[in-house]
This record gives sequence, structure tokens and C-alpha cells, in this order.
Amino acid sequence: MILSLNHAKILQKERLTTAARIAATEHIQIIEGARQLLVSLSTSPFILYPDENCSLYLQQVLNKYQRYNNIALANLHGDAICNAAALPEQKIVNVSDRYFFKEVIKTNEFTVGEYSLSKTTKQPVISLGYPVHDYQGRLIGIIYSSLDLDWLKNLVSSLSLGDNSVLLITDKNGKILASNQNSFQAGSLLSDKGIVLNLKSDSGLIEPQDTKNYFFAYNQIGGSSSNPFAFVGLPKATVYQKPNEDFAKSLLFSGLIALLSLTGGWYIGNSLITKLVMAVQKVDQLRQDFVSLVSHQLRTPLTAIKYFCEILLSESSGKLNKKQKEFITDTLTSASRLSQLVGTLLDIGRLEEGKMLLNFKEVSVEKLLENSMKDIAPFIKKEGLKLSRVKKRGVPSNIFVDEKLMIQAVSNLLSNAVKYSDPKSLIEIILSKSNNGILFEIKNRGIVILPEDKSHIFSKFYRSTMARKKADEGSGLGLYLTKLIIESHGGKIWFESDKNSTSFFFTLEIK
Amino acid sequence: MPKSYKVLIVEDDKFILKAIRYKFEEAKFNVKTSQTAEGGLTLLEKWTPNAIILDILLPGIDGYAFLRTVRNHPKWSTIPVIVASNINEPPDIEPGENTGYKEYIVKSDLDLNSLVEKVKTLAR
Repeated sequence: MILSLNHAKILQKERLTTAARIAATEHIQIIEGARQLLVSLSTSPFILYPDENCSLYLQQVLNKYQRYNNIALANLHGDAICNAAALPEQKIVNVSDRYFFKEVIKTNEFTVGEYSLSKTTKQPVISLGYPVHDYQGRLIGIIYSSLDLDWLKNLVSSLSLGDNSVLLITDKNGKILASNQNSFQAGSLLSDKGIVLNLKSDSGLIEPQDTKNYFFAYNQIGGSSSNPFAFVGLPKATVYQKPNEDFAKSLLFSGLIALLSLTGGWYIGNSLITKLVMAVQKVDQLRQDFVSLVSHQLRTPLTAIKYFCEILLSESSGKLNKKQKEFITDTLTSASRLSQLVGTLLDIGRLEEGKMLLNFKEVSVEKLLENSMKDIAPFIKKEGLKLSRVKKRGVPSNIFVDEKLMIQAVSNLLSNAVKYSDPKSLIEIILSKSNNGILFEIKNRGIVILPEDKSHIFSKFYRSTMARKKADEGSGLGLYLTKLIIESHGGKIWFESDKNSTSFFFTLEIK
Repeated sequence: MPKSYKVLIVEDDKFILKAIRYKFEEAKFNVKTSQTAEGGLTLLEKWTPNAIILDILLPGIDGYAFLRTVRNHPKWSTIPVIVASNINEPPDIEPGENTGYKEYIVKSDLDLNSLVEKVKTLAR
């Protein structure tokens, strides 16, 4: 298809939206990744109690995260007392005049600083700072890192823009603050290159002049009139090499905008996204603390009720008659159920929020099943049920899971199987090898899942028609929690139910 | 029981404390109790128990601070400590010989008989 250049540009709009979205995602990840690294470092004993090993430690971190140009710790005077880039004889660098340092001191928050040229590599870098607090919450230093623009070069490379493409950061007068090409030195003016600026709008294109070689797109960073501009330039020859191959051009143009969005994201990220992320995290933390506190406060009186019931039932404080024993046993059962419910709600809250730290470890599949069956063993005996376990060929012996949570999930499924089985029927546990792990099946015969219940069976607080008829206990949270647990391990859970039997399946990958 | 084991219970909830105390006295333990960590440390100055049952959320200094103090004290560092709390998250440190406490239990998940048995095992 042959298109004019203008027509081609119009066609890019749709692609540009996608490119901008990709770029936005990437810059969030970069900013957030840097913040998380600094947050993590700020709690390290090497940083909290810096000694002669501190720089060595930061060097090791730097080796691991090669995206960063440097990582260092400054005291409150701005002296970089630990510095991954420091040489043994090197003078201590002072960063007290740097924007990121002043901002962190002022705001006590993560800050994305200014662009500057690295003293060692002479490449444009951006500095990010985070406050370090001691255990009493006092500000004791600032951990900071410098991020070079290699990731932008990589993006240039991945978009096939060519090594000779230019990324510039300029002030509003066109003075170059940072550049990825030696031919556009920091400190020089774009106008010196004959590039005519008309920066009335916050974004646009600059067509190459006859005598000049670059096609530029620009975008103001962060939207404020005093903020710098990001420029991405491509050699004229590249752009006009094959003017009618608009697909190639679309890639180039999308690439330009993607880069602009990305660089714009630096500043926007600082003022908006990062603060937003931090605000959301604060709210999450408050909510989490609230749930934990409520859980604790509910459990405390429940524990006392449980303990006194146990003491009364032991009859050490006096003999009980039959009815008194029965009533106190019922009280104890109810208190235990309520206590479990509080725990379940807490687990659900954490899994829903993705806040639960899973304690993955290698666990024997056999042992996992054994431990999951402990609670149901008395009921199997009482109902005269038979339990069979089949492990098919090729099923791995061990699996990486959070043992406590996985026992809870399997135990929930087994408990349901027992609850809804016909007396003296067979419950089967069948393990098969799946693509990347194990397929578990728990099959029982008895009460089936009715068609009208099938789409709700994993919903929170849902109790199926038959479940309500069969057992008056139950919170409707068991299968919901089980699903959350399986999915938090990267697995899938589903069921099949016909008039004869019901099977619950779930998969777990071997990690 | 060949001898009377001594147990210190640091627990701020008066009802839970009353129940645990009753159960351990019934099991012939020599029991001392405190509703604060500071009170527990004062008791330790004059009396060395065979085991400590320690709550975490306490008024004043908390159970972690109590644990650190006991762990760093030359005379008390070997006393086994059972951390008994209703917070679902155990301390960041794993229980063990060198970490100041032996076991973490969620109180509401445990019955009193089991608690007595655990302390007996540790006190031996």
C-alpha cells in the first residue's frame, strides 16, 4: 500500500496509543524498581550501621543490578560515606547541593532527581534518593542511586531506531542538559545546531531543515512550563530512506513517541505516579494493620473463653453434670469455629491483597497429603468411608509450596469430600503428572453440585443448595480460600460434578 | 513430676493470664506472672524460671524488647521462651537455640493441655 507521509502520520495515532501504554508501563516499572531497591537497602544492617564493609556491600549490589550507574549512602551532611563507585584513595563525594538530596531531606520521601552527566562515564544519569531511618524512625542518611540512560539506548535498539538516533533532554531554551550522543554535547544549544525551536506547545515534531540532518519529536516533561523537554531525533536519511514504506515509518514514529513518553515518565513518575503508589501503599498498610489488630482483638477474648471452657471440662474446678458438659463443649466448639473464622478472614484479606508472604519450601507430596488428612481421619472412621490414594507414574515426589497454606487448601477439599459423601462410600485422591507439575484430583460419591450452583461454587460466602441442606455449619469461605491459595501458587482449580460423583481438580507447578 | 518447674508468664490480658496460671498451678508448676514486660524483667532479677511464656503485644515495652533483653543477659539467655501471641505473623526471626525463643504459638489455636506439655518438655 502506498501512502503519503501525512496520511501515514495520521495512521500512527492508533499505534502511538499502544506504544505510549507500553512506555508508561515500562517507566512505572523502572521507577518502582529503583524505589524498591532503595527501600530494601535502607533497612539493611550494612546501611543502618555503616562500617568499612558498607562500600563493598554496595559494590556487590551494584554488580547485581547493572542498570544502575552507582549506589551510595550519604550522611545528613551529604557526604557519601559508603559508595559503590568509590576507589580506596578517592575523596569523599558530597551531594548536599544536589536536588534529590535536598528534596529527600525536605520531604522525607523517595525522590527522582535531576539529569546530570556522570563524572565517571560522562553519560547522562538521573539520581534517585530515599531516606534511611533508624529503628526509632529518625532520619540518619540518604541512600541514593544513579541510573544511566542505557535502558533508553536499549529501547532505541529494540525498536530498531538505529544507533545514530539521538535522545536529548533540554531546558525550555533548548540548552542541552543530557544527551546520548557525543555530537550533541551537554551545555550546548540546539539553536547552535541550526535547529529552530518553536516550543509553544508541549509536544510536536520538527521537520528537518534543508541543511540539517535530524528529524525530531519533542515532548515537555511533566507538563509544567518550567520543566525540561525530551527530544528524540532520527537521521533524516533514515526517515526518508524509503518514504512509501509506511510500515517501517510507523515503527520509527511509534518509537519516537514511546521514547518521549518514557522520558516524560521520569518526571511525571516522580510527581504523580510514585506519590500515588506510595499513597496507595500507605492506605494498604493502614488497612492491613487494621485487619491484623482487629483479628488480634477478636482472638484475645475468644482465647479466654476457650481456655475457661477447657478448664471447666477438665472438672478440676468441680464436677459437671451431663448437660453442663454438653453446653460447655458446644461453647468451646463455637469459640474454636469463630477463632478459625477470624484466621480465615485474615488469610483471605492478605491473599486478596497479594500481601501474604508465602513461605515456599520443598515439601514431600506424601507428607503434604498425610498432614492434610489429619483433621478428617476421625470423620472418615465415623462415617465408615474408604479412602484410596493413587499416585500415577511420573508424579514428582516433592513440590515447592507454602506448606501451611497448602495443607489448609487440601484439607478444605478433603473435608468437603467427607462432608458430602454417602456413608461407606469411597473417596479417591488421584495424583497425575501434568505438563509442568502435578494434577491433584479429590473425588467423592454422594451429594452432587447442582447446575444452578456451578458458577458460584468458588464465590465468597456462597453455600450451595445441597450444602445448606446437608450441613448447617460452614461459612461459605472454604472453597473461596482454597481457590485463593491455589492461585497464589500459580495453580488452577476447577471441578466436575455429575449425578454419581464430584471431583475437584487443581494443578501445582514444580518450581 | 520429679520437681516443681518454675514458669514465668508475661501476658497482659487478665483473663487469659488467669486461665493459664490456673492450668500451670494445677500441673504443680511454681508460677509467677506479670501483665507487663517491665514487671517480668523485675521478677527475673530475683527469680530464674525454667521457662517463660511471653505475649508480644504488651503495654509499655513489647515482647520483642523483652526477648532481646533476656537474650542478651548473661544469666537469662538460656531460659527457653515460648512466644504465645494472637498475632498471626510470627517474629521475623526463626525459633532456635541462638535466637532467644524456642517456639512461636498462636494462643487461640492451642489448648491449655498442649501448652503445659510444651513447657514441660522445654523445662526439662
